[in-house]
Amino acid sequence: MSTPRGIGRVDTLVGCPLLTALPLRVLQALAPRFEATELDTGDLLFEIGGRSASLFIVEKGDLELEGPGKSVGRVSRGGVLCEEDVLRPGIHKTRARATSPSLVLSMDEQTLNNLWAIEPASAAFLQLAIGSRLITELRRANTQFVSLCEMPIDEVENTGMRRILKVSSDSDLESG
Amino acid sequence: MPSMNTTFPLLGDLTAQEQQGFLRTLVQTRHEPEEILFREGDPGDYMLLILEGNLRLSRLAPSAEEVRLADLGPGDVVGEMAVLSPAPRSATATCLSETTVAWLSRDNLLERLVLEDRAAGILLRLSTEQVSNRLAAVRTRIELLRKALSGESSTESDAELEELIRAEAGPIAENLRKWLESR
Repeated sequence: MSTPRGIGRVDTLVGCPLLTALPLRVLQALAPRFEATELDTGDLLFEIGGRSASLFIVEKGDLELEGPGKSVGRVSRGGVLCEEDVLRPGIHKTRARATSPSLVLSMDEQTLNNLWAIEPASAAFLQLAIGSRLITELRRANTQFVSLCEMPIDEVENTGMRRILKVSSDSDLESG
Repeated sequence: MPSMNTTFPLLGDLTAQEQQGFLRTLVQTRHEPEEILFREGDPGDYMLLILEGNLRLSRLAPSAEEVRLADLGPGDVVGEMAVLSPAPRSATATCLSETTVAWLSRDNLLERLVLEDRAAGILLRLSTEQVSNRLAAVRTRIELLRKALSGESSTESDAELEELIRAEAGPIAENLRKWLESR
């Protein structure tokens, strides 16, 4: 069972790669905005299908990420989860389970929105850090998308893609 | 003087007057048709807000052919990703007509954020929102392609993919077409 345990600590934020470039005074302003939660081994931080609107930073311990029926990754101290969802809430596609006693900091969408109203500079630097990470991910995803599109034709044989491309091409011809 | 009626969706709910106030604080430059503002591969750490005129974004295909990516006009913004995360330009920006742009560098944006400039904050929030939406869209496309390539596609995903292929411009559509042509 997870237990709320107070607020975040500056030294945890300093050690988090996502936030490492932020000025200390910004981290000092952000720390009390994070909520800290203790997890025992086996506790769930979040479950597949649950609403996702919080950013998580692991302060202590380890968590395993599980997709349907399989492990998809692990995060430990300094690791960040769901940074995108604090900007654009969604649904959890994985569950996160503590594999050792853990402490996790979180900030939800509402807290970030409130921060914009009361400490806009701190909110801006956090948003910039998250935005920068999203861009890195977007560039990686774009590259992946192009590589898929450039897959050699012999690897595309006998797949559903052939049929879809054919239909699309015929429609284009019909339309003009 | 450029038209001060241009409004920028990336400046959100700022009034036209507030937008103009913000734009007046930025360096503005005027350019001739065919002038290149930046080239693919140039270092990028600033964005351009188009006040007047039109720009073309293009890139070179592996065949060295120029591929048009988009034509942009007043109210559009170029290079907002470079301000959030500097990187070499992924496209070339060429003026299609006499064009006036306002420049916002990453350093300038950071200074404004420290000073709690509201317009800069809105620009940052909407830019990251846009990046997040683009990322979600690319992930959906990747998933659609994966499903189609692995033969797991459904009628629904087929329809979405057909839509994607129709909507996609430039090199991506070209690549997808190559699959057809090489049969």
